[in-house]
Amino acid sequence: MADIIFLVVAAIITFFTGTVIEKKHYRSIRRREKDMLNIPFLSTGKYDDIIPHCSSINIQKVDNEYASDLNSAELVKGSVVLGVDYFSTLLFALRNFFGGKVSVFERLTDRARREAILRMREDSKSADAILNMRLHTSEVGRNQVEVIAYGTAIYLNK
Amino acid sequence: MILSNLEEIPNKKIVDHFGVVIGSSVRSKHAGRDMMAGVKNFFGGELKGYTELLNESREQSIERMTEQAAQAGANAIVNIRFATSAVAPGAAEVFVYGTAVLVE
Repeated sequence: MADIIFLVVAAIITFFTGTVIEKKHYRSIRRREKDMLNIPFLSTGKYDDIIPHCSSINIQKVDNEYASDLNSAELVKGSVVLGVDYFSTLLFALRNFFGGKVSVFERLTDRARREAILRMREDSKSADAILNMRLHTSEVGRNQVEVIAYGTAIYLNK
Repeated sequence: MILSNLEEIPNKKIVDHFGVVIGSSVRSKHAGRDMMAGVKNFFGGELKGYTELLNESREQSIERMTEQAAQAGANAIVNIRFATSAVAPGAAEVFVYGTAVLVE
């Protein structure tokens, strides 16, 4: 009986903490994404083709070479480990029985990816663009997900 | 040492290749961190201890890879890739690999 009471109380508490933490995180993600709207990040590494079409990068073609305007390149990365609350694991156990969409984990991976990308971009705020971005997701523990985002930040001659 | 995950270093010409260089590191979470992570995992949210742990591990992997490249006589590593895997419960392996090159 005590076990059942503990389970119910734990589920109720973690339902609230989980919801609050998630909402807070999403607010922070949206705000920071807005702040960095003007720095392009791309999953392609072909800077010669792409950069002339990025409106925020204003460079001139010199001797048919765009690359000559690139000053330096640097590896940037950002990572995060996120876990789900107890209530969500209960919900998942139920969902796993019946099958179907697991929105708890959809939101978890969405938050983790966006957070990792934001940290990668914050790793180098003065970069003019980030190229060849790659995302890598791995399970580090039960119901815990690690996402790493990495790419090459480029700096232009100004 | 210039690190990049592009296939070349922008604005620099690759003059020599030295092949693939690899760095890896396996870290175990210590009891304190594991307990804190357990509490965090109960309420939800980021597990900062693990994020830091994996970052430290990643830095060391990069260091090892860089050392290897320097020994070969390279001054840059291109096409870098990261991977993480759970090799045992409570331990995570982080490895990084790339191609060591000499640029002008």
